[in-house]
Amino acid sequence: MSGNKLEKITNIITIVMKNSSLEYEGDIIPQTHLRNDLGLDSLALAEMAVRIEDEFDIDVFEDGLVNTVKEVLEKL
Amino acid sequence: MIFIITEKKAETYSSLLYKVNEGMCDCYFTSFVSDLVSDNDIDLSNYVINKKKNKIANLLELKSKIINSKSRIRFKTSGTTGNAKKITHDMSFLLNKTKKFTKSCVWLYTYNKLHMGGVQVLLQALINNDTVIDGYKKDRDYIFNVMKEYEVTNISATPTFYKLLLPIKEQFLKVKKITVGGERTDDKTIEIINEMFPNAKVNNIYATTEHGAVLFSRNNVFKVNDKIMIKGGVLLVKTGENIHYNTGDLVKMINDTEFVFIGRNAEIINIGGRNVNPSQIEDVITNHPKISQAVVYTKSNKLLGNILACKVVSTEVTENEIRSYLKEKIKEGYKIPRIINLVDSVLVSKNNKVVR
Repeated sequence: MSGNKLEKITNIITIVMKNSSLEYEGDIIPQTHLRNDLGLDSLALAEMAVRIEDEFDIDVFEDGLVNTVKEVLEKL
Repeated sequence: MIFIITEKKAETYSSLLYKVNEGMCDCYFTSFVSDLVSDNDIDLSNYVINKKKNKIANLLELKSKIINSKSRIRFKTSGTTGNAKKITHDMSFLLNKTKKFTKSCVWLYTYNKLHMGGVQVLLQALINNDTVIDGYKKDRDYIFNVMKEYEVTNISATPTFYKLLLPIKEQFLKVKKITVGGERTDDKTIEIINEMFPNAKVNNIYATTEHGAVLFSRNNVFKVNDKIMIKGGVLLVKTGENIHYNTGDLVKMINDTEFVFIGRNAEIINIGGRNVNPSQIEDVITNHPKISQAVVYTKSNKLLGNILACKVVSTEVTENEIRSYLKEKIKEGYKIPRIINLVDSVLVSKNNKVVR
């Protein structure tokens, strides 16, 4: 189940990165940092949140910031 | 003689036309009258046009009753940005806005009949004994068919209505007058009209349900006049000595005396503290030659408050192409919609206006 979620979140992050013209060499894993590793800025993070909300019906920024993929997964 | 064609199939048009010439009228007219004359000082039972007694004398008498009616007519504003308001006008106010023409016209009717634009067209046609063809909420093929078959000369509609006629199938040379209003008219709409109706004079009307028509233009540039005032980029309509009504419509002066409409105050979207006018982004998107319509709207989130999303009508471009096009045209990243949906059509309200 959690693997499935990771895959969905990875797909969403990949779309967001493409829209921001960002590239990342490594694999997206739970420890990946959204800002520091992937370079997502606030617009990209907001897009990610909207896309996740469309899929899971949860705003991951509801109770404050999330920094890593793991922290995103924990909200779902 | 006024008549309105409603749900008739194409093959029955000629028989209906014959009946109309014989002095018959479609019952839709009666229902229009009973809705219009809401305070009802006309005893409709004497004038109900049924299948047995459709005499032109009745209709002319009915027309005179409508014109002389002391009724007050209630309208609901479309409530494009907020709650719909109720506005009341008497018949003399509405008839004041109509004009007598020497030539007879064939109108394509596109409005909801309970709204100001619709009633204005019906009264205009009634005053001149013109023909009205009902094109309200009809599909594109139906519209094209009736325009040809009845040689429509006048169309009054919202910009959205004209955009829904895309792609352009043919030109309609008989159309002499195009009225456009009810929404902000963008360059795309004027382009479509000029191409589709090359012989038509364009009349772009800015009206409010409260005041009726206030401004007129042959394109989408309006001239400042003494009925209005512009303050802080917002259009105000003068309603009395030093009394102004805030329309909430945003305008931009292009020189000392002329201006264009750029959007509505209530539609401004705040993205992390920065304001974006969705209409301006829509203009950029629809300037793409392969895109016929676009709607920019907001997706809310806790991080920035809002981000932009858009729906784009086109079968010829991909999401990636739109994104690169927008990156080229718009410098500020936050003004570029983050979510782009390609759709077959956009949602249109019962007043033929685009719904965000």
